Amino acid sequence: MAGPCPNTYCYVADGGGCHLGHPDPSDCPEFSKTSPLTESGQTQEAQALSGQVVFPWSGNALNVQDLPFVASRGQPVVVGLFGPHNAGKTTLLAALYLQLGAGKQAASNHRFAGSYTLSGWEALAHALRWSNERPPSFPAHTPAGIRREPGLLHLALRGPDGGLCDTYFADAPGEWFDRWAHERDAPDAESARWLAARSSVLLLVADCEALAGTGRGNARKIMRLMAERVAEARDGRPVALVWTKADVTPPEEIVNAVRQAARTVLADLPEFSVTVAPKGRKDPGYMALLGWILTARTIAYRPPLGVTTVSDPFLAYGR
Amino acid sequence: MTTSILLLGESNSGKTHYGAQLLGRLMMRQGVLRMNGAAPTLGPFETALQSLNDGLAAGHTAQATHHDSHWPVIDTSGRAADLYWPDYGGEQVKEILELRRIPPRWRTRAQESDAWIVLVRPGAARPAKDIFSRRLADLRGRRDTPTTFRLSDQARIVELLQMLLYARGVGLKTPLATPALTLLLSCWDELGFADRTQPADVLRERFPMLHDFATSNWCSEALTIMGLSALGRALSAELADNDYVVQGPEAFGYVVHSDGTSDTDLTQPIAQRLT
Repeated sequence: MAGPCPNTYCYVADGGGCHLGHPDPSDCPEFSKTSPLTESGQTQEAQALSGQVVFPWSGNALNVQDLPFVASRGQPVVVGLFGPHNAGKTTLLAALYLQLGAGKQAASNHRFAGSYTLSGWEALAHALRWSNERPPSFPAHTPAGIRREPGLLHLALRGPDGGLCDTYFADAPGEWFDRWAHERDAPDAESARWLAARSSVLLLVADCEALAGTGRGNARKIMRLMAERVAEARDGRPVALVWTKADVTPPEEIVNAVRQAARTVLADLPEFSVTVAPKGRKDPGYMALLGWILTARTIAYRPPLGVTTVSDPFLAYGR
Repeated sequence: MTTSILLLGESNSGKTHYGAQLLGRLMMRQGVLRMNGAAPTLGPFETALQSLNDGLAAGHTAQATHHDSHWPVIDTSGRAADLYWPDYGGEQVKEILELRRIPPRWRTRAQESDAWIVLVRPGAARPAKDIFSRRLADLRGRRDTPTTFRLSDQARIVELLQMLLYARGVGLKTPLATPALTLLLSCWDELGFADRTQPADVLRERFPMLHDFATSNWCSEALTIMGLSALGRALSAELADNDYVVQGPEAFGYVVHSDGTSDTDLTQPIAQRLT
């Protein structure tokens, strides 16, 4: 295991890649800065890693600090899912990945072209798979923890024109949005505000099961508040209303009330219905949603300018 | 100009048997490709070929030392190539994926090779049944608790290719023309497909995400998908196959071209990559 790098954003010591993008950390001037040199002229830490390629991605969900790595090949699109606790946001992401894993194409004819967060996706998706030990279940709730920023799950998708689209799906706990919906400027709603400010595309997630259940009145009210918050933060960005658990049919008056409340504050609001349990041969709906995400006019996320001093043009400019 | 070709695959991908059978074909000068002079390192593949001559499956010996085989080959037109097997049994591929570091020798091979041939074994892939392919009557009330899990087979191969591309310093903004990629679907005989089944269709069915990853990121001219049955039949490690003993392993094994036709020349997947 390598020693710590003086660069506080670099996690080489924890098995991560060099923050400045050197495939071989022993080439990095930051990594070699303060430690005593061995006889070969390298620090002990650099010597331990010399010649090996260390990757700037772990396969787990990315942090915001990781974005410049992939932003180097084009401006990424960040997809924010805004919905209350238990609305099915995590299940939506897991199902999306499984559908792509089964070779489905987005409605825009984009195909899977890679991901730097495969472990992150599989961690969500494995719950929805059959295994010898157990049948499928919903993924575990996303823990709120003490993080202030969401984990970002990456998908690279190749379009019919040959262009590559890097998309990041923010997997954030529902508790963030519950707080934000009730009090936009609450101190503990900072994380939701963070996501609202940085998403390129916003998905307003409505839980059909909650809207059909005994607490449907309150669920309707939450959706109105959520729509108002998204509208305040929108700033011209594309927003879609996504009905999750669409195998359940809420009362028509509830659906109309939610729709009306959303459309009052959000013009140009397409709607999508998704479910992991479609009836008969009905389409689950995820590829239609993905197609819209990829083709909606988006303001691409622009990460803060980092200081990259690598000579490798792959990392600085992409190819 | 000599083409440099890298061959790799995970454990249990059929690499050992293909290497042994390929070695036999190259030494006997049976196919379009043959050994160009004496191969510097034959090592464990020669041992595996001896097992096949005895009618037995090659035993798997974990290689504690990193064994890098290099075979100089030449085709009937005089075009030369260097074949590199940086990893005998697939243990290093496993280490790369688990430890997430590529050793210097692999980095060099990834950077300098003109073509990569990756063995994948559809028959060993665990069935990827999920909530969409096999419905559960009622999912309500079922919530997962976080447990350990293993990357799916196709996700692992995609990750390996992503790592090698990074080690090579190649981006994917536009589809690749180099390095060329051949996906070799191994142990074809265990799949029981009808004649003229096309390997690309098998890849799409068994590894759909890998299929999309490869077809999205490589130009059509730079991507080849073939089938391979190195042995032609299953062999036992204990009970000798008499046909193998009598006819020799060179009488067995075939590749499946992209159009579904079979060919007994096991050197074809490599020969097609010579420029």
